[in-house]
Amino acid sequence: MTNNELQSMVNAAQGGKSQPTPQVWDRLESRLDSDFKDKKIKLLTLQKKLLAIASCLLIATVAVIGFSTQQSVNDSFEQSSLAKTQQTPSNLYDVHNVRKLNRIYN
Amino acid sequence: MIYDIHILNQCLSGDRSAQQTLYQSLSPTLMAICRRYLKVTEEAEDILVETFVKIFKNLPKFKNQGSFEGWCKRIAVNECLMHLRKKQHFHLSIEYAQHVAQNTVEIHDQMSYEELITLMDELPAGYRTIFNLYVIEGYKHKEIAEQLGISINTSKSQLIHAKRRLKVMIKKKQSNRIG
Repeated sequence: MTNNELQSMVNAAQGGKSQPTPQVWDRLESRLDSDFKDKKIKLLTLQKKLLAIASCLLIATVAVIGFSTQQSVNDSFEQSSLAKTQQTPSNLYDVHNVRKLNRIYN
Repeated sequence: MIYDIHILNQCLSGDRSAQQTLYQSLSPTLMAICRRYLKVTEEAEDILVETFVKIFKNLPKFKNQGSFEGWCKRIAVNECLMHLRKKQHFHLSIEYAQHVAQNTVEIHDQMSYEELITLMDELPAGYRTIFNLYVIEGYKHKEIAEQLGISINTSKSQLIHAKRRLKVMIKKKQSNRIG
């Protein structure tokens, strides 16, 4: 092939235009619509998943806070009762001494 | 052709009328590309739809560096290549080498697009693709080999076959014209 022929082909190709049938736009439009719907559905599904994860996290946080509050209440109760128990022998001793003294004086 | 940045921005926000404006201005050029690669018009139209879907989807990635039309043309060529690769047209070419052109085309000094398409339609898909990529799009054999998943030598030999076939066709048409 001569360079002239090749160049002529390149020119023809570069300046070439071909009108598609009008139905092509309709097909493209419906394709874009369905892609948009798919995107919307995916976004909604993602939103639902995120909402579910957020609810789970909230429930877990509430449970942890509740558990730790209960634990601290229990701990403080135990500590106070332990304190009372530790105080009892000396109190008993005091009561015993007071009774003894009362008997002596009476 | 210069594309209004305002239209592109409207397309980005999904404005259907802006998308239609862009489609109307670009589709004849892109359809011409698809038709050069694909013999069947309906197939070329399918690829045109895919090309526009990709253009609208990837519009945020276009950075306004270089020509917008050039960017769209590259997408069209890539879509055609992907389609041809799926159909594995590149293994067919050698067996069709003896095929004789049937249509008659008048070759003048300056060839028209219609004449070019008539000639291209006579070429097997492999020859046509490599001729398009090398001669018209200006790809190197290495790039063609990478794009099509073939060897550089296959690309070179297919181009030689394509040119030979085209030469025979052009001569035949010219002799028909004289005779």
